[in-house]
Amino acid sequence: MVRLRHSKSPKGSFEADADVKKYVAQRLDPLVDVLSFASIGDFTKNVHISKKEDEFTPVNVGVQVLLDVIRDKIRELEEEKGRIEADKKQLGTLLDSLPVGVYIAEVPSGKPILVNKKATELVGRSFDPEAGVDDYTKTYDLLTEEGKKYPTKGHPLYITIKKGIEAKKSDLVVRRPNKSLITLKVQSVPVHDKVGNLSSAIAVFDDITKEREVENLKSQFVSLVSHQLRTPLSNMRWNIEMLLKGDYGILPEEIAGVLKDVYESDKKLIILVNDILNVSHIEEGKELEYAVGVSPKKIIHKVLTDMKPLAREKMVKLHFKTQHNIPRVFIDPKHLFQIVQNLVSNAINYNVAKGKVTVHLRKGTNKILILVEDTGIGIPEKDRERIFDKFFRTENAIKSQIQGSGLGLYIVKTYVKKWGGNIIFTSKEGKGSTFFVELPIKNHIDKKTKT
Amino acid sequence: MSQKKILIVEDDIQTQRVYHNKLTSEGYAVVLAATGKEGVFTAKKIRPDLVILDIMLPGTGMNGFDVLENMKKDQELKNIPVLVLTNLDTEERVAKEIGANEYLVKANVSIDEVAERVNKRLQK
Repeated sequence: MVRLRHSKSPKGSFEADADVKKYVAQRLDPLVDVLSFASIGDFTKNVHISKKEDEFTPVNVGVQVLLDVIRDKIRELEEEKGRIEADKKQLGTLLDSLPVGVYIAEVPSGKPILVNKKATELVGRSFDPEAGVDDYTKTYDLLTEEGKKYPTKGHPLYITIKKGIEAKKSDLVVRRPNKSLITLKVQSVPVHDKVGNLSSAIAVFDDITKEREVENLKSQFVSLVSHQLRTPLSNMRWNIEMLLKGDYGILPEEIAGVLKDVYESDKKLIILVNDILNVSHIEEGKELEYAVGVSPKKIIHKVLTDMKPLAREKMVKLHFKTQHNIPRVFIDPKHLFQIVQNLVSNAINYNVAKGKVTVHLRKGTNKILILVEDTGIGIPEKDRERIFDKFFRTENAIKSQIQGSGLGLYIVKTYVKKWGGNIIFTSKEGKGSTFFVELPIKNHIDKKTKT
Repeated sequence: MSQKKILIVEDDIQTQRVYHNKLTSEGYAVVLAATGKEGVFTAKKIRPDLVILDIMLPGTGMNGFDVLENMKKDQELKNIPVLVLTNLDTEERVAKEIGANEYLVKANVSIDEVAERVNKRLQK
């Protein structure tokens, strides 16, 4: 320990004080140096700790320990920063190597946080860091497929940011600075933080211009071919109808029988062409509905009358059970006809000889219920999930060599959903199936709406 | 009562023939036109009691819609009932907006149904 001279100084206390001050200053100076470096962020200097202990030793040691801790922390932070930067670089490289455009949007502004190369390439211009969700249409010249300004509220990122849900659109057209147009498929997903708050939104987009062109050509082709097919089919239908009715004289029974077969084949072909056309309209999104108040009872009667020959051929009995006072439904009669026709023809086709098909019509609260019940081969458990998929056919149907396009239930479900209804089914393999269709009596879809 | 006249505007020959056979057997006088232009011309000339109109009518650049529009503009023709019979199934709204009384898809109706609609319109 250093004894301060103060205690035994023969001189006056003033001089002793001065000595002490000088001594303290001398001992403090190096420490002050180190600290002043530290105060400007330089923690590299060390405190000199003399081997001889004195009153300043604990302070010096303390400061040195503090410096060491700070230096450790700084190193850790720097390492962390390095790692983050490496991660970010990796993420950047990864994002840039993706074949799809990626745009990470700030919430709620929608301004870009991160955008990859492909995104810039697709949009044909660099992203404006200040352009938020309300500016997308203007800044990036977004159009609808009809060439109108893309509605802000229709943008997937708008939906994701405002509602916190996933959104998907495949009708976003970008007019690039060179005036070329490309159609994008955009899918956006919300990103939530640890406590579940929306923290950002990620949009992934892809160029589907080619696919769109091919799709359009395909559906144009399908619809052209289908219409051309229908003309001879309807001619055959009408001519055979007149022949069978005796408009050209009474036919020998045998010939009438053969003609009836031709007639049924022709009708099957008409139904198939109708199905193909309907699917093509659904896919074009060009389905034009013409809704009126429709009597479900009349439609079901018409379908059952139409189906009689098929039922006879398959030796299946048709029944119709209806409640009284069934109200009219606001729907396109063609669609309701298709719904019932497809369900009934399935119920007959996938039935067994001497089987039964019963159509029930019931009234519910603000809705009607159509049940189509059969005693047929049923739908295998494993096929149930996919039964409404386009072109899907169950294994037992294929095995039983029952003909079908796999389009019927897809059309049925699309139409039922379109009119705000619901369809479910129960089935037991080898026992039969029952389809339940619910349709609202009043429909919210405006009859003037063109889709 | 004099025989009612039906004008058929239809380009397909076989289809023309079915219409002709069915509707004459129902007691009507049937006049045929194969193009839009011919359709409008004949309508003006004979003033039919009813028109059966196809939509896709190749050749003269006049389709069924044009025929219908022309008829609706003509004071003497505008009240003649028009049954659109086509194999297009997406044009119902447009056809009815221009003034078609009925819209039937050929493949989806029987020839008897066609005759019934005609009879109903002409109150036979």
